[in-house]
Amino acid sequence: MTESHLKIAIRRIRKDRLAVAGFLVICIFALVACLDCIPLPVREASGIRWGRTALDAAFNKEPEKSYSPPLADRGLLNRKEFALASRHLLGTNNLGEDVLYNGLKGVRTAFVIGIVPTLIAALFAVMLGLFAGYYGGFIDDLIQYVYQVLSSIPSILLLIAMLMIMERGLWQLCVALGVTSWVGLCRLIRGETLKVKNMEYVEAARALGASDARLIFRHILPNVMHIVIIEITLDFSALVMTETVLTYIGVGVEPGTGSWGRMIMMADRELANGIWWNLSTASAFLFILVLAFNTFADTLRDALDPRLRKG
Amino acid sequence: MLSYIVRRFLLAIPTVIGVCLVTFLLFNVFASPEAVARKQLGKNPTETQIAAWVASHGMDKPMFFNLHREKDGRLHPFDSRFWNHMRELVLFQFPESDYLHEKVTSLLKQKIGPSLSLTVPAFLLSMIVTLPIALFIAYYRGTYIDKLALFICVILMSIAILNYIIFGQYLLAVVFKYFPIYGYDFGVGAWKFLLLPVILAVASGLGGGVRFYRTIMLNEVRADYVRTAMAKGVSEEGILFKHVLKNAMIPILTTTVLSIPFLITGSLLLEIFFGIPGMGNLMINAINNHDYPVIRTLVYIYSLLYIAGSILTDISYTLVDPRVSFK
Amino acid sequence: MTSTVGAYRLCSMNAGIQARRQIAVLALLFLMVMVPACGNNPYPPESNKVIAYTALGEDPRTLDPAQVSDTTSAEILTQIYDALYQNAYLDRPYKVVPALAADYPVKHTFSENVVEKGITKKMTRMEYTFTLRDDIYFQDDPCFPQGKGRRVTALDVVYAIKRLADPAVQSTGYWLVANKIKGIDAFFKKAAAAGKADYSQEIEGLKAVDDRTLRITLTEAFPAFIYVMSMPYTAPVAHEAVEYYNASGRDGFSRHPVGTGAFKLKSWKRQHRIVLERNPNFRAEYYPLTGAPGDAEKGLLDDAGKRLPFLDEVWYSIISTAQPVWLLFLQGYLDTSGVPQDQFDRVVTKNLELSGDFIKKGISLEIASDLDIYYLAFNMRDPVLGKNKYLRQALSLAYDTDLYNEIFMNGRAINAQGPLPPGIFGYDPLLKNPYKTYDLTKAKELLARAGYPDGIDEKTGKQLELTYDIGSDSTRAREVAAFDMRCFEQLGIKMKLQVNTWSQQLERSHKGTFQMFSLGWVADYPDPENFLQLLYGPNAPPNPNSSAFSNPEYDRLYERMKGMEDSPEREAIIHKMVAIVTEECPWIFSFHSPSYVLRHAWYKNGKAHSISGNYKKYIRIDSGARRDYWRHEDKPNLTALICGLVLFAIILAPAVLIKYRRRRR
Repeated sequence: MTESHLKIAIRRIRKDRLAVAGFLVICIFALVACLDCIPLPVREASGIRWGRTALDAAFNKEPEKSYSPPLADRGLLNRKEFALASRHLLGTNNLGEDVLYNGLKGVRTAFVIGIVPTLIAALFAVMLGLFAGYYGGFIDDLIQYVYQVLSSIPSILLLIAMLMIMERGLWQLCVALGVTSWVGLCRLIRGETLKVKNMEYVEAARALGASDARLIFRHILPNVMHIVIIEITLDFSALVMTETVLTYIGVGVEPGTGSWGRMIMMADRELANGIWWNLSTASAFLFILVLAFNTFADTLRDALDPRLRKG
Repeated sequence: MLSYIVRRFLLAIPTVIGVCLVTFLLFNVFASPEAVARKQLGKNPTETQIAAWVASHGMDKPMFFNLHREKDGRLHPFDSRFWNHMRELVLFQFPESDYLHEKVTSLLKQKIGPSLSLTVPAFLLSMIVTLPIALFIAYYRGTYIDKLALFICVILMSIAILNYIIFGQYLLAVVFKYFPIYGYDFGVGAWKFLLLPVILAVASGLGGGVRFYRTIMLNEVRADYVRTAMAKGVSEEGILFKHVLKNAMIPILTTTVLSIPFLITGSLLLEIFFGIPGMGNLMINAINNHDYPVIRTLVYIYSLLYIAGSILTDISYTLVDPRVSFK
Repeated sequence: MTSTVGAYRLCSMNAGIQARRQIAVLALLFLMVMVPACGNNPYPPESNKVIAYTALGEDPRTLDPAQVSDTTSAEILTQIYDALYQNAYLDRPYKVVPALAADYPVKHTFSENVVEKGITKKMTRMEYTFTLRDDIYFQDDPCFPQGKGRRVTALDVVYAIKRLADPAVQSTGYWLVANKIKGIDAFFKKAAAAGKADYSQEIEGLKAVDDRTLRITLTEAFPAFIYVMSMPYTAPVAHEAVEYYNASGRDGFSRHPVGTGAFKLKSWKRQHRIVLERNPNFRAEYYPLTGAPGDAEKGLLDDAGKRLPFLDEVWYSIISTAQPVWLLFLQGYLDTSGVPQDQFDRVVTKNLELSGDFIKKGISLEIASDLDIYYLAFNMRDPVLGKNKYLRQALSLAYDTDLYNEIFMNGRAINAQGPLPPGIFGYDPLLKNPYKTYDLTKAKELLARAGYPDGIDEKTGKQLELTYDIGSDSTRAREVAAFDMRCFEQLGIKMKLQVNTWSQQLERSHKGTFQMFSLGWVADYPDPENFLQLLYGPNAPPNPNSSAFSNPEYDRLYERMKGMEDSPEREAIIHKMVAIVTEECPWIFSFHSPSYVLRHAWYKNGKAHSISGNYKKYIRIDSGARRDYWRHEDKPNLTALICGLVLFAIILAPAVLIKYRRRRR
């Protein structure tokens, strides 16, 4: 994607105020996620431990004993009210953890799950799609066969089987999600490669004696990258929602990691109890982030789509 | 036409075999047979019992080729885990569930009905509701209604399906008591259990569906041939309308026909939340109980359905669009 | 910009077709929305039958009595299959009474000389003679000629026990009779070698003397064997049923139980519902005339002497998530329920009584304790923990059972002092385990004595690091692990969490590569031997002694106690054994679990029993009262519905107006 295309895209995006708003929201969430990535040293008897993050320093409060509603000053455990150690903006859950803190911890997980699997998928997809489209013939048939077989297997079962082999964990989940979803992207890239392959500038470069590798990586690849970017933004919401469903089923991230899916999973029982704040927080965070991405992604896709470039 | 169909089926065979291969690799890589046996055998299995279980499931045989000579001197080179696995799947001789001690085929027969009774009405209702709404919005394109509707669609799309189900079930069944909370009934009595899940299924797909169909219809409306026909003064807008709709049907078909085989596989979340004893429920229980025979068979069947779906899509393409030939 | 005029004309001509479609959509939506008059009731309209509605968490795995090992399957199976003895429903402490047997067995202990490897040993044998009733019949079933159930004979019991020893059946109950019934191991080995069991082969210690008399010879003195004869494993099985249903083309015996109990299986839809119906061939059995102290006051003896069962059908709905079970119970569509942990505060008041709202609805609460023990097992084969008694004792003292109780068990679990739960012979209510009170100072002292002052290894100067294993990745398991590890970390020890799948955990336990691991054991039968065998040396993994605890004195006492009848001498020996275990500390005893049962007013004669059994036959239901409750509870909220419709109309109004305006233009 050349510079002028980028500028056109940015100009188009700026025109749509909703998309700009979405982008700002995404930036705020990204900031929270970044805060959660900065490790802070904690001095302990056995030396320095790097467990806390900047987010923890800003928001973590001592866990209470059990539930408390938002902004309350008393909680309830086993029919006994107990005094709260500090004010909790959004209340506490059944283990006494601050709900706002849990929600914020989930942001980093959401970003990781939303972006990394597509990047991993892109790795396979771009490589294989480029080769399939460029070389054609037997290699094309072979790669098409491989991805036809893989796409026939229901991804959720493939996912679960992979998660059974590897340990549970955020990064393992990303790998599993990436490996099971590269097929669609590969198809698109292959299609785009076929189109671009026959364009004039590529023909020209070939006539000038450029090698295959040079053609693929310097000429064709930049022109298919916009698909990858669109795919990342489009898939973000789907991946984040998939994580919540997977956690609900029981195959999501490990319980140490922040996860909105886990909050929702524990919270559906609480609703009948009159405990609404846990579920609402997780749902609200999820909704806002997904909404922001959806509005932004639409505009981004329209901005980057070469077919609409005629304006 | 027939030769095209036959050719498509033949081309699908290597894919099916590939799927069988992948499932074999997947399910024979982890959990030692002894551990699986111990899990299935209860409290105090003796070593002999474990060995007997492993033997009865054919897991003590060699992986690929059996070069072990029988007592009577005969050789069964194809009596290995790999070939037994392939034979089992390709010939549809499905095994017995470890956990439920019942043949998978009989389980499938019981479960397909409830799944279909949920997904088919949801699918049809979804079409009936979203297509007219999309047309409606396409009619008003450019006005504030269009923009408002789009905005609402994006909002509806951004709500997670879990939220629809949890809040929907809580509000409509528990608080307002319109529907039974949970459960199912075989036969005619199923309808009152299906109302709420179907409504939630349609509601959660509304946002995305309306947006999608609207985009398709607008694409067609903006196309060149429409402009040409207008310029030519074709008076019968009704006929034009038919052309637009017919061309719009191609992308609509791609998505809908492809999803028909998946009507059988059921909706996982709805079945879990509402206790509908369908295929989704079967799958989740099999996964939680490490019931490998069932999982293996389900993977194979779902793959077959997907392949069938793509063949159906290709065939329907040729039926609907005369430009697409049988190549 | 496409031709707006043309497109506009195009779309305005659609209006006719569109309008029709829109009306159709509206009509459909209207229909959809008006239908919710159907309300909450998930059951088909009732007939005159008396039905009990309960819930199960999952499908039973099997209804073959030789294969049943989980509580869900046992719950269903015990209603269908009666064994020679049954658990007394009302009496406490738990005991067994005759069911299919006419009376208690005649026991005869003798010695036999056995030659083994040239050495003559004197072995104690115990011989049981059981006499069956003469009025017991199998239920009617197509597997019998003309479908009529035939009389049950002693041969049917022999057949059932032989099935346990048949490797092809993969029975989970073989361990109960292996090495106990004379000659059964030979039967098993022969069957394993031949690949097929030969049921005509005689087993020396298992003889049907005649139709009504069964003689079993045990290779050791084992008075608790009567409990084995009360378990579904030894329920008489009709060989006709096994052969008929295992034939090809039929679904298998594990799904077609043919028994002698008060109920028989009517239908079983997977992951949906199991229906049991009254068995007309059930023998004449009557409600017990006496019970435990306090039963008469609770109304549990009101039906004394009446013929059983009272119910026509029992419906088990299979519901895998906890939330619907609770909601259905509140609405009256389930007769009984437990108390979900997160509902506890609403249900139970500060004084551990049922809260007012529930009493108003006529619901009653019963709190009982289960025959189980939950504990944290130390691996006695581990080089760090196994040899260091003071370390284990220190860890035990650092463990705050009461806080655990508060957080995870609503404060109602019983703090376990030893391996035996209340209600079992040999349980000492006065036992105070010196290492079970939470005492951090004493713990630190002992830790220092163990060689790890403040958690630092004296010899190496490094911090002591211990690994805590869990066998599942559930939130609950992790929460419990986090709590336990926090307790030990107070001593300055570094704790590491090892997450395994259940099969990995079993492997690690088998190989002895873990350090500590949380376990529980629920009684198979109410004899202390069933718990004390968990610490018996020779029972090391793969048998249940997961710690591989091996103390020669304990083992010796165990072998003695095992062969004794309940008596003061036996009690004294048991106390000695418990003293050894509390001192050696191979386990941190955690708690005995409480059980809460909520029942609606129309569910009569319910009493909590720790062991699965055929108790549904004692239950009586007042259908009229239940119907009244349903009518009262099930009132769909029509005002909200109408508000919703009005709102919908308001939203649609501007669109319709615009359309009409455009049309006119």
